[in-house]
Amino acid sequence: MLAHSRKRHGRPGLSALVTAVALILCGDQYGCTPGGPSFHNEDPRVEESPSLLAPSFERVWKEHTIVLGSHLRRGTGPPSSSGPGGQNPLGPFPVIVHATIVDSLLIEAGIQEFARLAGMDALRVDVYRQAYRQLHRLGDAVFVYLEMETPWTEEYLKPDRWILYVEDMDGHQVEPAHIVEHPVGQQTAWQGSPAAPDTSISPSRSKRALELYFPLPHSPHSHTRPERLKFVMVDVNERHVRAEGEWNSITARN
Amino acid sequence: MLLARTGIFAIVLLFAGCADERIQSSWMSASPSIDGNLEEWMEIPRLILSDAEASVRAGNDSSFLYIAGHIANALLRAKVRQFGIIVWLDPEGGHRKDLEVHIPASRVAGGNLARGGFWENLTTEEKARVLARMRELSRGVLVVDKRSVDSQLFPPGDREGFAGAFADSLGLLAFEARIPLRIDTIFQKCRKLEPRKSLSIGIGLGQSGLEGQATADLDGRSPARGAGLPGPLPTRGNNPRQSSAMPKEGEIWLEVVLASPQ
Repeated sequence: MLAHSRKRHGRPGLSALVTAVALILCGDQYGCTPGGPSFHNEDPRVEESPSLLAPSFERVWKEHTIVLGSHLRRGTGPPSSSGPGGQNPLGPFPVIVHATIVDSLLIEAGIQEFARLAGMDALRVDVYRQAYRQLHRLGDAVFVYLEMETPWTEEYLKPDRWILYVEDMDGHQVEPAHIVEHPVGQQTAWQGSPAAPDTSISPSRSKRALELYFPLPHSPHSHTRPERLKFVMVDVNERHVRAEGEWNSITARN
Repeated sequence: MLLARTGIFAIVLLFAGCADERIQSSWMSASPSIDGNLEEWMEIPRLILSDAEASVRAGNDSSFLYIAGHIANALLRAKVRQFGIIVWLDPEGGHRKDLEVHIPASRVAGGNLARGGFWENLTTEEKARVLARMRELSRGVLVVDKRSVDSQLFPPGDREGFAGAFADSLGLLAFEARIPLRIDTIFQKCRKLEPRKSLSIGIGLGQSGLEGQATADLDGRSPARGAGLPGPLPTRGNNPRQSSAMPKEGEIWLEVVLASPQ
């Protein structure tokens, strides 16, 4: 539906979906579903570096994160000399994407971890929690934190390059109403990777974080919690270049 | 570049002749402090690794195995200071690298503080405290069990688990490491270490100690570091899976026989 048009703001007519996702930040908790064809959440176990942050926080973060385009890490990047897009009908996906749905469970894990590291007292933790919820529009939006990196042109890190949307089990789709773009950063080498994605391209890569805020309805009337929520990225210029992954409800799974 | 490659070759050669030395661990009635000061080790016999211009000592009590030593070779000392070391433990006596100990943790572990937006809501003072805590953690020891894809960080001062330290002075680099005998309580797929039995311990340069330098030569860039203390978008650390893929000749392997109570 929305894959045919690119807009930065959600549509009022998409209430079916926004109703479906409305409860995510009202106590719903999500994880991710591994596996699937093509670029469908290819390898959620994509190798990550160990973290100095608490394992409890990292574990929750990972459970809420789907990974797209991880073939780039495995050195099986776009084979076409014409670059990403190529002739592959599926379209080689030119970006590694970590999409994290920031729900109540993850927020609390993050609040607790940063409160611990910063040595906050209970009063300050409450203030910190409220400030976080306010800054990230919780209660008004579904917050997805997107980390993108590519060995190709930085064009691939621009939100305008992509049709980004979430889709519920009934196929209702919605685009983000608001996007916060963080600056593009550079990394000088494919650190820890067995090989660069292609020897003909630069070993450097660019990365960027985006905050995606998907709209919530003003008066949610759905009483059913979506068991799954799909995240989809489609290249504006080459629609066959597409990737998707899926979060599922931890509470439903339990 | 030629000089750098010569240096790498020299390090490989330094380690090359030191494979599978056997060392008898000594019973230690008092636990040594893991701080790089080896005064507590003076009574413990040492194994000289002449090719590497290094020495190694081993001791244990009923709870821990302790490894200590000195490195005199200037090039090797510089590399260890820069890249740290990896210690591989194989309780079965082979050369398996399933369990690897990274000293210090900062060579492989980072922390992306920017993600999720939690950082933005901290005050300046809180950010400073978080950074200080992260720096402290980065001086700890990271242990990775590749079979269960599990890792655990042991901060400096930890008294229960793994520990490691370096100290460089008077032309010698001293190192110390502490390894719990009950590894199985930390990593379930590991077998515990027992007195009178032997295990294999491999020692090699840490992340990028060899491979990273080679990459730097080829790319004309400085080797990327994975420590990644936070900026707006901190870099991710390197993956420990790849870090264990050092050239085999770039390692020291020891057969350590644990002592029993005297």
